[in-house]
Amino acid sequence: MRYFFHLHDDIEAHDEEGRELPDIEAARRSALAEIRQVAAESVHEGPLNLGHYVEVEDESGTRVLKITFGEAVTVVPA
Amino acid sequence: MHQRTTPNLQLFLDRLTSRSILTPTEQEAVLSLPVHALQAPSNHDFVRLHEKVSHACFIVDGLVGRFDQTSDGKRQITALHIPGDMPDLLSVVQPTATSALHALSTATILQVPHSALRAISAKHPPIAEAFWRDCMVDSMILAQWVVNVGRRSAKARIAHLLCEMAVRYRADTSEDQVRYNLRMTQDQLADTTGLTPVHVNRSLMALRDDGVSFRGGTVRIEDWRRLTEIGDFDAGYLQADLQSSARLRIVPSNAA
Repeated sequence: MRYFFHLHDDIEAHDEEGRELPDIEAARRSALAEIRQVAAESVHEGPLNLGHYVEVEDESGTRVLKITFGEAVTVVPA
Repeated sequence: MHQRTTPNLQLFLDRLTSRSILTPTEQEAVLSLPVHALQAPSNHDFVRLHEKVSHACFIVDGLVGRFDQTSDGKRQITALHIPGDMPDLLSVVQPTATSALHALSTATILQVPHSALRAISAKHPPIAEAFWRDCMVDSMILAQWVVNVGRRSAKARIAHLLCEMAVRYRADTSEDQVRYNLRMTQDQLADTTGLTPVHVNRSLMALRDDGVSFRGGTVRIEDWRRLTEIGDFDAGYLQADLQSSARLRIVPSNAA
């Protein structure tokens, strides 16, 4: 199954290539890894918006996942 | 007629003589190296990690990635090689592959036996010099890539890579607008720049505002100088525009 990972942060990055993955769980793991990498650069620059999100569509165009940055990271309050 | 369509080493000679001075006899010796042609299918390792090889590979057509990986299997592209490159020329002195060579697109490869490369180097030291410089340029590119993944932002990494490949593909960068083909997916760009595919896509979207588009394997740059500034790119390390006076030759031509 091909999944498409659309990023919605201060830039809208629509995924036109997608990638082959065995199932939705693999897609969830990929989305988490993607968010953590993009969020890491935000942290590097300072501001991190936990409401930004990645939306995953399957090849029929159905949205199968939406994961916010807040759900992908664990923030331990001071 | 037949000879013209047979894959040969002319591109390799062109590459060597763009940086080094070779006499007609030496040039003929390069073109006369024995070769074995093969087609490497897309997404295929034609040199496997830790494989002991007895030939070096010259790329006639296609795009090749040198892959290295961590012990838990995470892969990173540590070099891109295009037609005219001999990505594992160093295998003549280090025959056990410490990196895999992977066809990112269908590639036409000419295998050149190490024994022949050793013999031509012994007989014609200026050719060994030319090989030396070829390997040196590869290592200078690698140094730039280390700076890229270690010190540059995601957007700057992509910008730097798009500039480097434009120069290596000999796209015309004398005008603002630059066009060239780069048959890579976002996954492959991610493996090249130490990013993830979504992060690559985000960086490409950010570059759109700077007049850069990458679609269907075609790079379109509206403002070359601006992209070089974003990518912190200076083409000097690629040795692409060496004047003949700056080309290396330790052994005088008249001694050859």
